[in-house]
Amino acid sequence: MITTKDIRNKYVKNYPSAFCPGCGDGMVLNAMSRAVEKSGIDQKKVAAVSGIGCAAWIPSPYWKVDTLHTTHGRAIPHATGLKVGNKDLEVMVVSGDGDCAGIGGNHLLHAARNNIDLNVLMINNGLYAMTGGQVAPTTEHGEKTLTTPYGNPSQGIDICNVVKHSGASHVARWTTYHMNELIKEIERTIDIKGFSFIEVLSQCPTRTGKKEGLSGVEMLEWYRENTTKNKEEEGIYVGEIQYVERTELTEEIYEQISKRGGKPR
Amino acid sequence: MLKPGTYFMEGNEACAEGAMRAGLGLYAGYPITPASEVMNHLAKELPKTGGRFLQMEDEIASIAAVIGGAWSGLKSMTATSGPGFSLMQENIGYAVMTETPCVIVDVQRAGPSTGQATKPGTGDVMQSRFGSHGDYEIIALAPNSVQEMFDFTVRSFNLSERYRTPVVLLADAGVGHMREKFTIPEKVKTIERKRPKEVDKEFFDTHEEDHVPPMPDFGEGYELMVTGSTHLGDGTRDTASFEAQDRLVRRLNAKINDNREEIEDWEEMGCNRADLVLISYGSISRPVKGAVKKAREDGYDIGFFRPKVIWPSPEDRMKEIGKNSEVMLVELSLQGYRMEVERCVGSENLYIFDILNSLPTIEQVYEKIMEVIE
Amino acid sequence: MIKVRIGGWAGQGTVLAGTVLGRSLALQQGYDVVQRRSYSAAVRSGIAYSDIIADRVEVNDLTIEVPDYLLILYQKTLEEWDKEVKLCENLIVDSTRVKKVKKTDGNIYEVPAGQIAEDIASSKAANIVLLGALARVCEDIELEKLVDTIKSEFPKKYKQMNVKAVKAGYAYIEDLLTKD
Repeated sequence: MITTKDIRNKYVKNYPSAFCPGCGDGMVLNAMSRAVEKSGIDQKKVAAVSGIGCAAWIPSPYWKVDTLHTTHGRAIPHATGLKVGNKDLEVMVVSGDGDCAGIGGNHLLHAARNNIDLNVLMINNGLYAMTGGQVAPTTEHGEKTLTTPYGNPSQGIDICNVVKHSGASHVARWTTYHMNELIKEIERTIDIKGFSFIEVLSQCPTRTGKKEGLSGVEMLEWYRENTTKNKEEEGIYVGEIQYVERTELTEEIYEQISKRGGKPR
Repeated sequence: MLKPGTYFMEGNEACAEGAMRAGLGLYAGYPITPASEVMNHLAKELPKTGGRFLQMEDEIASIAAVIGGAWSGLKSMTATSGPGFSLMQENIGYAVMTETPCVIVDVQRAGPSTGQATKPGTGDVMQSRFGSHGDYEIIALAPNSVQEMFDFTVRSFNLSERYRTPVVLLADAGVGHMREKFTIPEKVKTIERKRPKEVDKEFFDTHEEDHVPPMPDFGEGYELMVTGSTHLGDGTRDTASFEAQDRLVRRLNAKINDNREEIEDWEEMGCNRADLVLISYGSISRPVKGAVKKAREDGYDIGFFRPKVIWPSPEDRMKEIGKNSEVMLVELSLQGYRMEVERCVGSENLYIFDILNSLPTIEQVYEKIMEVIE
Repeated sequence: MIKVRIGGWAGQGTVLAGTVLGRSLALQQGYDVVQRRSYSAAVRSGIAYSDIIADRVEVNDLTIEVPDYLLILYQKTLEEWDKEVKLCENLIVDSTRVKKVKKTDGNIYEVPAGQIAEDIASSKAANIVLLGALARVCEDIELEKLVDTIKSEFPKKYKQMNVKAVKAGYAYIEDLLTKD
């Protein structure tokens, strides 16, 4: 039996982290570590790519794998180069909702269309936390944030639905309340050849919590009460949203190379 | 990839051939006039050499994939023109900061904005030097023939690998879309990036004289921490301390500045104490050279000076020339290299012949020379 | 120095013809050659042309103001180029498409290139017919080398047709000159 301490020693460095007390990011780091451990893949072959924002700090500098901490919104195309460059790497992308669905939204669409074998975790806290709590593409209509003091005049995006229809092999949604399910889902993404996208609803006690008068734990309870694993029921659906087999970009490229007499260097 | 030999091809195609000879492993790009022929050629030829070709969704994604490719261990490149080059600027700074070797080809066209897509310009010279934010130095080369499109592409890769830094091949539509003879030699000299030895733990700092730390690939077990934030030698982010910022940024700049002698390259003819020296670069330097030759044949004491490496600029040599001669800068833009030349030779004895949209004839440049010396 | 401009409308193969000529002069005849093209951003509209400058010494003049040989495949192109048409030494037009030719200072050769090409296989080869005509008008350009270049550069399917086209263009001028 591998203990929490073992996981931490094997996968986490620069501890304690800079995350706020009660933040969901540390929980995601834990889930990712456990998933890699359970999957049995070589830790040396895991690469984590992130952009800018709180969630981008989950792997960098805390995760004991190779990390590429890139520019805002561009984690996915960086990861694309890395994966196509070396198909043996297990490339994880960890991104916030602003990073992934906002500034990086176009890259997300095309990576899903390419169905490139990346494992994308989009940590969704519903706003831009690092810069003080501005409205994000995921913020719900009417929500008050730093930049929507009179309520959000636009609608939040259902990003899982967008990724699903863009052609990703695998789409799922969980929350930080659902740790065991999340670990299993991440483990699945490692097995799946194709674009895997997990939206992780995660609490921001500093920005949202303070405003709503909720602690981190209370926000987790909110996730428990407001989510459902039954698609027919009211509430936020959590679980698998899509799994389909489709051609995968990296394999296609390597195949084209070998068919034309090239040998991937 | 073509066999060694002599060919009659376009500059952009010669660039693609040069890249493959240099060991290109990954190309990522987005179509744009007048640079598209580079990617068109590579789409077909690169897979045959084992290299990966990617057409991305935009230029930002292209440069990002190039950086990712470089960290996977491959020599990587993209090619674009003005509008795409503007989009790439943020990540060029990221490549500088993370010391990622890569080559960015900018086949300059007439700008600003969409401008004239098929017409040559050199309005990106300052952008190639200062286009990304923050303090940094960069290497940029300016070819003026199809042969140099081949040779300088190879050298761009060699410099980027040698100094672990992005290198810009600053071509223009004139040279990119020109067809000429060029020769692929039997042996092309290539340089590979410095790899870590067993003892190395620091991949983002060094006490070596050349200021270049070794670079491992992803997947080799080094627990690499690559970040665009200010970082310590082992890659750990340090977003606050004076020492980290001072040490890193000064070293990144020194990497180029302290190695100028090895990087700089220029062509000159009759520059010592000439009455007038014409400074020019890129495609327009061809008729300029022709005009200087003609003037010299006619008995005038006229010199010709052409930076092949435009950044870092050959500032010492230009300063010397400025002390002893009057200077005329001939370029395909109003502001291209002007501030740098002015800085080196002074504004009092500097004449400007700037021409937009098209290359002048030798005769037109010759007439300008006569206007100035008479 | 030989300065040739091949002008027409986008899609007429002016650049292709220029490349065949440039490659032939550069690789088969040992000239230093610069070939440049000009076109608008649209693929199938606007004036398109190809300039070839060849010399026995290093070519540094990259721009043709007035060509020695001006080949024109399209009426509108001819009308746009007042100065070039008037001053060039030799004007060779595809008279299938270019009907109205103003008087110029130099020689005018009207070659029904479109028709000749169509008789061979397809009017698309008009550009290559004109190139053959040029080889007869300009002594420095060798027909044999053009034929060799076409043979080595064109896809198999188009080889024969273009070899015939270039020879037919050459023969047309030959006839014209012997009749005089």
